[in-house]
Amino acid sequence: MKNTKLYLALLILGTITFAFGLYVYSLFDEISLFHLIAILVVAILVIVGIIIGIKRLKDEKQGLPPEDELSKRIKTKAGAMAFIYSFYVWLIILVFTMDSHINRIEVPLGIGLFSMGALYLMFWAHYSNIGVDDANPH
Amino acid sequence: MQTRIKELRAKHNITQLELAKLANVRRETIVFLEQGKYNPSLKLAHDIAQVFKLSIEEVFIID
Repeated sequence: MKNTKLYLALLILGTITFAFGLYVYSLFDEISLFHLIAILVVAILVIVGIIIGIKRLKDEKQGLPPEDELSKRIKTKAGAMAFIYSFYVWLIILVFTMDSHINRIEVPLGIGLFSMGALYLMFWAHYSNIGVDDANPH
Repeated sequence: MQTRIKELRAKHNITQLELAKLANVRRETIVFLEQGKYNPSLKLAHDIAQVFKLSIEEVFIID
């Protein structure tokens, strides 16, 4: 049952990658630097997701659980820190877009959403590296 | 919090992976416990102590 979930997750990631590839192909005539950056970011996220999925599959084959109390605490702490700092990100976006001439609302929204995701990934990587020792927070 | 997990593993000839399987946690959790970077829950502390057939106080040293 757990293996099925992981395979399904990898399949979904592969489908998203394929769909995004088709979208990129359709943009070929009008591709800009912004599009290239967006493509690169999505590609990195998909590759990281696939690597994590494969690692989880390997761990499961070795008889290890995909999640335990530490990994859940790391996710929770990373989520909490990302949420707090995302307030500042949205504040900065608000300040910069207030009197700007940006006609398309999806640009600042996209930047904000991407920043929130990036913050979560940064904090997750940070706590995955240093651990979670709530008794001695430094 | 310090632990004697590394010393006990060596004494019982158990790898981090084997201990992780016995305690039903990921290997990274055992690594962080040995490095003192994580305070386990009471249940996990008990499960690990049970692997070595010791009490929690004999495995985990609270500063």
